[in-house]
Formats: sequence, structure tokens, C-alpha cells
Amino acid sequence: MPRFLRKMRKMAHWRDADTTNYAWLAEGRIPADPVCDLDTQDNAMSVFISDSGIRTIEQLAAAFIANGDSLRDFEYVTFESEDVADAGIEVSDVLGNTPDTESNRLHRDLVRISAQSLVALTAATLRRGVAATCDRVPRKEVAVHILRGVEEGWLDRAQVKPKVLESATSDCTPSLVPL
Amino acid sequence: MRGCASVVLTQAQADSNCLEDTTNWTTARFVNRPCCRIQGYDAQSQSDLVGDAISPSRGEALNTGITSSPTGEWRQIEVREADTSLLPQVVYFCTGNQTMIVNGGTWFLSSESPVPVMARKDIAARMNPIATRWYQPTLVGGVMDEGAGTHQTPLAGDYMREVKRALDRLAGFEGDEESESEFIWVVSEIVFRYEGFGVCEISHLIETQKIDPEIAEHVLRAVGDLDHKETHKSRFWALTRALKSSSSAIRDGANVGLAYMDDPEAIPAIKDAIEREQSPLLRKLLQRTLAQLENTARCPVSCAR
Repeated sequence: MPRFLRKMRKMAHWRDADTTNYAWLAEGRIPADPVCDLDTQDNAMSVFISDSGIRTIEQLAAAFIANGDSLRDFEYVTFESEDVADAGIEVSDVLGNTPDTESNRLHRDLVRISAQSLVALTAATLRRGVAATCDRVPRKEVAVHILRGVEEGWLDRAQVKPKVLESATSDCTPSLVPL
Repeated sequence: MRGCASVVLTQAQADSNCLEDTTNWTTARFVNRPCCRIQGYDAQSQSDLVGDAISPSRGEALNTGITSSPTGEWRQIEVREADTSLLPQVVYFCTGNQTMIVNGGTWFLSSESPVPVMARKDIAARMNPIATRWYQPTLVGGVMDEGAGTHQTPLAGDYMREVKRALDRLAGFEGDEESESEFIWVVSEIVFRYEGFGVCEISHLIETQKIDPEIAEHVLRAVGDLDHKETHKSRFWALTRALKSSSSAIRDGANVGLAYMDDPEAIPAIKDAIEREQSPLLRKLLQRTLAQLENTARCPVSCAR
């Protein structure tokens, strides 16, 4: 049963989501911020399998950020497959769109998500604890893996955004990861 | 003792009112929380010296413990602040219309009104650009001693108003993604233009909770991300200080800011923060930063930004 990784919009939405921080929350309720962080499109959500053994989370982060507008921290939350299934959410094999073929193969779409199932998935994730499910790959570590990916060839340099590559290069000198 | 520094507090001419009534230094009232604390020893009065560095723009006060003011002599003060190395480049002490400035361990006495104060030229030469811009070095008193000169501070009031306007802009941001680039630009402007003073004011704004913690988190990230050697020490100081905030957003902003600075000098502060941290998630995020900094410490050349 794989574990799924979803990039957060904002760590702040999850960081303080421990229910003990909300005296006003009734027993069994969860705060709205983490639910809103999981924005869907066409009732679907893009995720990666995080425990495949093929790509580490740092490599997935590098693949994801390499395709983005700027080099930044990669903040993410993970979902257990059983929580996804229990929430009534289906998983669809859809190739990803990163400069890494393997990461693309590890991409999935969570589909047919209702508002209720989204809340159920968030609640199940929060019950596991934010420390167990949320994390950040610091920007410098992302940069190191982008440069390594380009050097080792698993990241398609042509698909890496020039601005991101430039920032990654300035974050790490070539002696660490020769290009 | 770590961070000890011998500095000179200037002494006014007999006909100057600069240090005429230093009892003000001890009777002045405290209004806001201090920005940082200074401890020292006044060799002349043989008394301990304790001071709180605070924001001049709000007219707060200082208690230095200085109780006497002999005229016509230089005054030697030994700073015994344990964390001198972490002080901002420019720290301000105020008593009513008088301001004392600590500039990278060098102390100056000044005023918002153009009261002449003196500093040795060799000390003035070490003033950072912000101070030299603010203080128009005008030799009005002639040479008092070897290399002695006199400085005036006619620009202080305007300068402080400028900084306040910039900070007000910062406090007004919503922190959304749309305004992120403009937001970062304002932070950069405050730091690049006002240097140590700007950083100290940002720190004060955050500590006094005059800025929303979520905005403060972004400010601290941006402060750490700036490539500006002149304020490295000030920014480092502000970020390590923010690690002790009661707000998890501010602590995490400081954590990310320090990761961006990538200065292994922050390792002890990060370790202390991990010890103190109650939130398991924040502890994990701090450990991420610690691992990065330890890696940088192991390979300072190859990992340097």
C-alpha cells in the first residue's frame, strides 16, 4: 500500500493544525485551513508515490521544483493509502509532468473527490499527527538534488527551467555537484 | 569573557550640553520592550553598566547606570555583553533628546537635536555606511585629542520617519502570493537602505507584535534570503532572536531564514531551539536546518552560497 505525497500550498495551514491549538473547536472537529490547503481541480488532486524506493522524497522535490517558476523549499504532506481508500477517494494512474521520467511514473491523480471525502482524508491525516505527515525539504537541499539530477542525467536539463537551474547553481558551487 | 570589547564613550567640551546632565540616563523611563541588553563596566565610576538598546523612533529610554560625567576627558567603558558578537551593527539608546549608538561594538553619543558630540577619528572610520550617511561628520570642535573630531546628527529625525514609513508599509501587507514580490522588495529596501538600523527595527516590530505573525514569518524568510554582507551580522542576530518567539509562525520563519543564510554559526542557536521546541513538527523542521548547516560546516567552500 503506497504512501502519497502532496505539495502543500502553505506550511502554516498545517503547522498549527494540532487541534489543541484551537480551544473553540468542538470534540472531533478539525480546523478548516488544512482542508483548504488541499485545493482540487476538477475534483482531482495531483500526488506522487513517496515510498517507491525508486525516487527519494528529495528527488521528487527536485523534479517538481525544477519545473516551477522559482527555486524554493518543498513543503509537503503525505497520505496513507488506507486513509485515501477509507475516504472513498479513487486513485488514477496519470503520468506526471516533470523533467524526470521516473518521477512522472510515480505520479497519480486522486480523483472523484467530494467535499466530504476531502474532509475525511484531512481528518485522518491530522489524526496521524502533523509531525508524522508534514515535512519540508529545504531549498538548498532541493538545489543540490536538481544539480545532481542534471549531472547524473535523471533530470532532463532541457526541461529544467533556466531560472531554477541558475538559482540552484548559485546556491551550490560546482565543486559539490559538478555540471 | 566572550565578546568583550573596549570602547570609548565620548566626553563633551565643558561648554557643550551633551553630557551636562547624565542623571537623565538613569531616570529616563522605559516605554517599550528592549531590543537587546548590554552589560558593561564603567571604569571611571567603577560601576556596572546595564543598558537596553531600543528603538529611537518611539522615543524610549535607556538605563546605562552612568551616574557621573566628568568633563573634558575621554571616558573608557568596557562592554561585557556576553553576546556582543550577535549585536546588530547599529543599536540605539535613547534618553529624551539624547541617543547613544552602538555601532559594531563602538559606542557613540549623539542626539536628535544637533548637539555636538565627539568621537575619535579612528572610531569614526569604522562606522558602517548607514552611520556615516546619517551622521554628517563635521569638525566643529577642532582637534581635541589625537584624532578627535566632532559629529552632528541633524538628519536623525527625518531618517527615523523614513524608516517608520517603510515599516508601516510592511505591516500593511496581506502576505498573499500575489503581493510576494512587492513584499520582498519592501523588506530588501528596508535592509539595504537602513542596514543595521532597519533590521533592528524589523526585529522590534516583530517582537512587539505590531505585525501579524504570518507576515512576520515571511519577513524573516526574506531577511534570511537577502544577499547583503553588510547586514549579515544584524540579520543573523534578528533571526536567532526570533527563534525564541512564542509564535510558532515566527519561530519557523526564523528557522527558514537561517537555513537561507546557511551560516554554520547558527548551529548552537538551532540546537538550543530544538531543545526548547514543544511542537514535534517544528522540531523536525529545525532538525532539517541543523542537518543542512552541519553539512555546510563540513564543506564550507563547496557548499557556500
